[in-house]
Amino acid sequence: MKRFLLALCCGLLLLVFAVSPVLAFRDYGLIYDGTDKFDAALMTSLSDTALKDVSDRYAIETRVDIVKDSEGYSLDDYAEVFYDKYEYGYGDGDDGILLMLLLAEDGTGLTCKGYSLCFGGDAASLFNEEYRDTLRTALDIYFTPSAWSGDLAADQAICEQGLTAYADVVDNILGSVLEAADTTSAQTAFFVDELGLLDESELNELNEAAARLSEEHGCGIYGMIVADYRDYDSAGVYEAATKIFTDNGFGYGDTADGVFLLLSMDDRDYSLIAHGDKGNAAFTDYGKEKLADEFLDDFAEDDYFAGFSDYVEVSGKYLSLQEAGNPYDVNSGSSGIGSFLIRLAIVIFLPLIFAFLICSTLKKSMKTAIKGTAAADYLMTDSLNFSARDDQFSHITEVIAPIPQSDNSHGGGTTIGGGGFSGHSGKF
Amino acid sequence: MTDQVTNYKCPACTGPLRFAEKSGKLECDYCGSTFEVGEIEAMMAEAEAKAAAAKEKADAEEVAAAATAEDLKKEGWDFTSLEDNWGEDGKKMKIYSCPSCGAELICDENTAATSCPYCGNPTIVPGQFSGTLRPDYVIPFKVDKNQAVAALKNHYKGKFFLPRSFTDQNHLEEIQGIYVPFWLFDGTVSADVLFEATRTFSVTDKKNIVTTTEHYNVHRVGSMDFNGIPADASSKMPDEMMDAIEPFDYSEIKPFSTAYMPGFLADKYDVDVEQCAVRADARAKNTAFNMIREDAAAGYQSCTPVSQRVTMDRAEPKYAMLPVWLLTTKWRDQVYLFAMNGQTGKFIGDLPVDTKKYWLTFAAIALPLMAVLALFLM
Repeated sequence: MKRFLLALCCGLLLLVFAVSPVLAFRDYGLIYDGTDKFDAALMTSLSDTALKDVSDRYAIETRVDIVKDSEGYSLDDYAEVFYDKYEYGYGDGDDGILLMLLLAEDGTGLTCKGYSLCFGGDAASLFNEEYRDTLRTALDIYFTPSAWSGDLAADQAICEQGLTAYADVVDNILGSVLEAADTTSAQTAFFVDELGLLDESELNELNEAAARLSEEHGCGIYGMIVADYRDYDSAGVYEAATKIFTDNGFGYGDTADGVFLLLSMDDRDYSLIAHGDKGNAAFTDYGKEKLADEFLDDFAEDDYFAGFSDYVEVSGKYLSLQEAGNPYDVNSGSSGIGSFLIRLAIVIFLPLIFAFLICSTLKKSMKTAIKGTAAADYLMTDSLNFSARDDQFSHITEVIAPIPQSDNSHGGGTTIGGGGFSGHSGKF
Repeated sequence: MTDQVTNYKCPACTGPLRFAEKSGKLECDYCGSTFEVGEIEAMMAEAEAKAAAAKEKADAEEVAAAATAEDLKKEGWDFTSLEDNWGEDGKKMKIYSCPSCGAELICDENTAATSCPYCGNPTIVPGQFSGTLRPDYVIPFKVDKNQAVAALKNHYKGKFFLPRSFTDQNHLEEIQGIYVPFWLFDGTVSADVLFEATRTFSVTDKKNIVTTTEHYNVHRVGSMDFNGIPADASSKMPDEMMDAIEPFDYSEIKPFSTAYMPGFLADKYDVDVEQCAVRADARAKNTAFNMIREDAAAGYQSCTPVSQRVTMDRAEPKYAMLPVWLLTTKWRDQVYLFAMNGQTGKFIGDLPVDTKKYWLTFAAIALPLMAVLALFLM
């Protein structure tokens, strides 16, 4: 029994001795050191300060795993296996970045065999190829074999510099990307009221509706109230609208698709413009004219919230119609029930009237005995004499009517002018 | 009691004379002799004297007949059931004795020319054309009966809604050449009318269409003369028919003579001049106003009367006998009356409408059109 217990203890000791190099790793939170070569205080410091700061600031886990081999995987695949296996990343989307370093012992020190980056969740979309290249360029300086000397102290220093650079570059990239996103978000205040004609809740409601529809359709819906369009471009309200649209970077996508309604209060001018392939396709000349009809009555009564609400709502409908391949145009207006009744009335009554006229004319020829009402046949030649023929000017009346839209606006389609804009302007 | 009437007899064979439309002379249908109207008029005095004698004789016979009836009554014959009172109708009837055959002609009180139903001779009632009843003028017939019949057939042509059976089944019941009594009104119409006229023009600038309307007060005072506005003076003739066959060509009007009457029917007037003058005045004033308005409206886009005063200064009306062919047809127990101007040949008359054909045509036009419109609009 004593021999058995002795043999068991020796076996366990042997096992512990044999396995101990394999289990030699340290987990510092955001750093996993599979080599157990690095100074624990240093790793802890890097994990708890640089990496944690970045991770917390952007809610994107920024971590480092140091391994000695990839267990037969390519390093990229191995990094992904780790990322998934250990459920890296924050939140439901597993938002995070993993830098996996493959190190090997070299003399008393270490050498770097390579590294891999793995992006998860939002980090994958935030780090486009350009940003990933930037990050790799920074890491290449430190994590190449030539940078490592085989002296542990020197290698530990280069690793520290490399990980610090990693945290800094990630910080910079995320900072710039999210700042830009914030800026864009700030810019896409879809409605701007320089004169305070809309209260804050109305403005928020309009912005929310416009943002929702703009995102949904990939075409910005914007509105703006200014005191005088000449402050932006004195050439005209249309020119001012196009300038504001361009200067503010309105529009979605590569072609800056958007629609913009500018109200200039000094002379009560308005301009409704569209831009981009989608914007111009959805907002045809006829469509813009009808859209203007929707909001002009409200603006005329100084009900700006109702006018802009109508503008946003109808714009959304126009965009839906365009996406369905049937943009609102001259012929589209004939799809309503009212129009159907009108067409039905035309189909029924026009033929009836036409038939009645023809039949009445033919029937009239059946009646020839008609009482006389004139006596022109018995007027004596040249007997008409005027003793007074007096034409006196009385007065003048004048009616001023706005020029109706030119015919081509009713011919369908969109007339696109300079800068890729189409527009419809007038007064309210 | 019979009254006197006159036949125009051929001096050569004593056959009845008839006015021929084409030659404008009196012709004898028996021996073919023709006579100028003037010649025959000379015979009229003698004929009228004979007619007066015949009238006296007829009156005496009538007295004798009355005495005979009285004698018979005394002898016990009962004539109480034979009513000699014709009532109101009797007042409108006149009895004449045909100079040719002696038959009694019972005519309307206004009848001035007719023909004897027994011997067929044209008969004139000179008393209807004497004194204040004597017409001033007559326009002789120029178109004859055959032309009237041809005109009737022509009238049916091109009438899309005329029932087919109307042309197939209807029969010409009667065709009569009638001298219809007309009052002819001369006069001067004076009109004083104030119009409000406008002249409009538009100027287009970049943004607006400016429509300027100039307003004018247009005053016209004028007069014009009318000659012979006809108004038929026979209550038996429908006014609309007599109006519709106008105009008459007064260049061919003649002083009245009964010599134009033989062969035609004629009535004396029974609508007085004042009644007819109202219609003639209205027509003249209407024409005058239209002419004044036409002059005032020249150069303006609109011309609206504001005030008007139109008066007619009538000259003495003339009494004329104007020639009219009246044709009567019957179809499905309904009488259709047509009239033709006996001078110009203008033919008028209302025709029946085939209701079935009307609605079929209506549907044939409307339904395909509906289908085509539905194809394009729905």
